[in-house]
Amino acid sequence: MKSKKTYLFLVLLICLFALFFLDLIFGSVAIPLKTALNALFGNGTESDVQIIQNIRLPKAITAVLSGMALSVCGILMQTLFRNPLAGPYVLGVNSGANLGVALVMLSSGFLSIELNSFFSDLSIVTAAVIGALAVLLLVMAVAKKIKNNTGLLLAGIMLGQMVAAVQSLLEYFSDAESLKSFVLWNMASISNTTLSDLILLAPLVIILCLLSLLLMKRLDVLLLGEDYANSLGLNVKQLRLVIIITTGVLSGVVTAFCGPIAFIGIAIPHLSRLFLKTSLHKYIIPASIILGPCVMLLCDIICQLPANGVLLPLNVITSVIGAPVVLYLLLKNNKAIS
Amino acid sequence: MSSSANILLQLKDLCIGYTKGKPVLQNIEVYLQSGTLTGLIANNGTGKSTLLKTLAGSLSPLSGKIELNNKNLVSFSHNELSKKIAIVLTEKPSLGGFSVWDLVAMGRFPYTNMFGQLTTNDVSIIDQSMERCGITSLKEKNCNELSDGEFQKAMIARALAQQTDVLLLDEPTAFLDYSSKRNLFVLLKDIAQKENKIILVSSHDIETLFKYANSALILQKNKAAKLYLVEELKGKEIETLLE
Repeated sequence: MKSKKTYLFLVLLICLFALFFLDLIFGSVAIPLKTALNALFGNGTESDVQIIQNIRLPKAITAVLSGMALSVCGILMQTLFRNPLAGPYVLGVNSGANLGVALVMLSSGFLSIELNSFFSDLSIVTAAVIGALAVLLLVMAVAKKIKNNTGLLLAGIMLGQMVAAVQSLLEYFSDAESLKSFVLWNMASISNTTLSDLILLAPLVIILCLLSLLLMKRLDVLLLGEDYANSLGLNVKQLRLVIIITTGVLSGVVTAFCGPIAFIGIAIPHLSRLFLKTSLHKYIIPASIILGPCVMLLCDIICQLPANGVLLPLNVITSVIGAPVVLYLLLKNNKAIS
Repeated sequence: MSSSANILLQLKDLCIGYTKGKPVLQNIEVYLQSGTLTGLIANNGTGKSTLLKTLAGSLSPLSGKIELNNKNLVSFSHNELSKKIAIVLTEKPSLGGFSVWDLVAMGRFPYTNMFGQLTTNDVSIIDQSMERCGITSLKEKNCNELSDGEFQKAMIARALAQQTDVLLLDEPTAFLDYSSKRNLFVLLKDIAQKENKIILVSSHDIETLFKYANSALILQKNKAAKLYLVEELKGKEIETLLE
């Protein structure tokens, strides 16, 4: 039993590496693996090095980081709400982050503040995290009243709609230039991050994902419910706070750099549970940390598939993969959900 | 697993409730001894759950104190308390994807390191607890596939794995059929005696309770709680004691 799980982890890791290199090869210009690897270390023609080092490598790394972050968010939220239907996208946490970004990007237009790129990054990230946290706290307040799992999902969707409405209002009143950059950002894409963006994104995501690994024993017990968790000596309030902050920051930073990526957060934890046939966090957190990046890389590769340099929108692909998982849960796992 | 030392749980002038000035029950003076199975009998809304929650430490007493072996419960840390008092509640959490063994293993939570690594000692305690409750054959079964009775036993095994002096159970027989009920009480009585624990179990099934419990703690609405030996109660009208 244990060796089977180890074997699965190995397969996942191999997939991750394979997909990472495939992602470097695919694109509007096909670059053979050997040339790509050389270019990675600065050898080869200037254009190859340029494409690999400045465009495809940051994009592939962003795919890995966003996949990790959103999957961990999904697990943490599902455990926090004790609800298999929870996730950063479906409960509107991404929308909250979105609104934060919209506020900064659209208002900087008429406030005419010029920030250098690091500080503008930082202000967008901060706004996104605050937005994500605000929605998360709202959803938690609602969850206190609604004990029904599907009800919480509906409430989350409504909250997301409300936040989106406010955002539309902002868009309506903003000037053309900042609106254009905002609309582009809002399409959810992992190809706009530069290496300097990664300096902020990478450490945050990696540290928080490692932190989530330290929580795994406590997360199991939290699923028993507050009273049982308390009687086992778990400090429930403290753990909730840690989960909320971790989730808010993770979904906030990812949304700040990549826009609202759909369904990865809710789907990956379930796929991990399905593959490993267990819900123990000591298995599903590490598995999701590898599987999330795999799926994000795969989605990105599929985006590149059409010829002639046409790029499919990322969310189209993640939704095609993720939404059926939610449907599957609603249909098959009816008992666990209601 | 068993210890021979006598353990004493004392409720001294205890006043319990959710808000100050609005006590649910007051002036509770009760001593419970290890090796005994005590029934907790009360009408709904009298404060049964409040009392159990207070004893489990998730609710603070409004006044008075609870002492375990002459040490005030308030002075225990979260972790220390979880090694002294375990609780089995009526709620049935949804635990799809957890095997019965995984669930019972959660009872070792207070003893393991940050990663929840189980030592061989932990593993043998988990196995023993499962055997004690007669659920060894369910080891690999998914918790969501258990019957109510099986789940109740798994939760009790988890509480046993917690290796506490005190075991509190809130209406464990509520959803059980007659024979499962009887089996459960036989098991609880056996655990209380052989493992020298204090077991307090609330139930509306007074008949079965009287058959197996040593004593009964009766809560009267807005009045005090009183502990009777089961022998004293036989033949008495319980209804009159509850009002």
